[in-house]
Amino acid sequence: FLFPIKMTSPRMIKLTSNDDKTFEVERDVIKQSVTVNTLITDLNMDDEDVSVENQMAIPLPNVDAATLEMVITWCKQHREDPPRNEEEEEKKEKRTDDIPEWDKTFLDVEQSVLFALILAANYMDIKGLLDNCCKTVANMIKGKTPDEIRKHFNIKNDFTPEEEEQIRKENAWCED
Amino acid sequence: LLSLPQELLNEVISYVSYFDRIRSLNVTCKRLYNAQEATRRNVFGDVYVEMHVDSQTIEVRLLPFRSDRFVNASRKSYRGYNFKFSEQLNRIFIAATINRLILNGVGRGQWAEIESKVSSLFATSTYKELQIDHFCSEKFLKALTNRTNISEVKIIIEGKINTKLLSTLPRVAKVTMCQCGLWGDVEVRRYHQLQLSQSRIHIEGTCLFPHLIVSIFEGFCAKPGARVTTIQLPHNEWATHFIGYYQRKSCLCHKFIVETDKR
Repeated sequence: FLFPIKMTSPRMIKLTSNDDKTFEVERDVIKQSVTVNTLITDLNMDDEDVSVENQMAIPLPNVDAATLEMVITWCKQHREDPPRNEEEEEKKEKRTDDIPEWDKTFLDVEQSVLFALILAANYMDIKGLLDNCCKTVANMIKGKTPDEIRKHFNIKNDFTPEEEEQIRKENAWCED
Repeated sequence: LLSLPQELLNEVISYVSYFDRIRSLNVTCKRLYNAQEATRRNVFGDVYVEMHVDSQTIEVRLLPFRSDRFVNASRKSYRGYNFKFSEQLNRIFIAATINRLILNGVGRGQWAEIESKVSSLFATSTYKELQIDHFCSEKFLKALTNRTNISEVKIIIEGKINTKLLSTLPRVAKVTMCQCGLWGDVEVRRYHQLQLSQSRIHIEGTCLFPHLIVSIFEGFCAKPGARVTTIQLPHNEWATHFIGYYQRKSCLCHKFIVETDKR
């Protein structure tokens, strides 16, 4: 005799961006966002009796649709990552050469997109994404002269020549 | 970049190396200068500082490692920076938190001439661990340990002991003595005369002469209130015997670390 196997579809969660676009994402994927995870738990949204159609969408007023889509893509890619031990992470040496290859390609985007991702990762409290975004920006700064940094990030030099000279003088000790 | 809120800008900057911060970010614009200044004080939490001092300059090696591996690393594997005593040098260390301050060569040469300069240099910093060799002057060590909350002092002893120096250590929570196995009987006897009753003793031996370790250990255990917290033993063949003997005597040592036989 063959018994029918009950196929359970993955639990889905609805998220709404600040431009009113709604995304359905697997519960297991979005658990990487501490903010969303806490909301789901606090609102008892893990109750299996509520279908996704009747479920309240979680509003994310600080994240636009394009950025949220990228955040979800990142979370899907990293769903199998072991949970982070923040204490251990704190102890680790701060380095920027350990960004996974997939993330390097994923984060090779316009600066405005990268900064929007940093803000979203911070708001949604996704430490892994925030770390890799910050490391990517740090790598852009690495090895550049002040002029190159200004040009790269479109920063205006607001030092007076006297102020700049004073800082350079103070920093003379570390010049090669 | 400047559109990021301060907290996130600081987070980004925390991944930029200290020297990129000083050389480049500092001079880019006022906001980055201020952000860099705000995060600067945490920098030394992540580095070890090794200093070599002569009469004119102080060579500071900033070691971007967290582990002990630098101890055996080739000196060419990390960069050293030579500083002349100046305002700028004081500025680097002001209110810094330094994981481990290694002072090598302190006390050699014309140490007396520069002692006050070096002492004032470290006046506002705090250290989790201080590693000195036996050339370190008593006055200097006393000044450092009185001013800051050093929790651990590691003394690299190469066959000689400056007992006056060690007598300044009772305020320190943990004292590690290295290469004790290279000491002579005279040094051991001197050690027995030290007043280290408030200290936690960690004996790390390159134990060429195990009987000296035994003697040192007994000397400390005999002092009222003294605690030998850890003994690191490199040679298996006598370590088992040693541990067994002291366990039977219900000694006050809490932990034995036995390394594999390296010979």
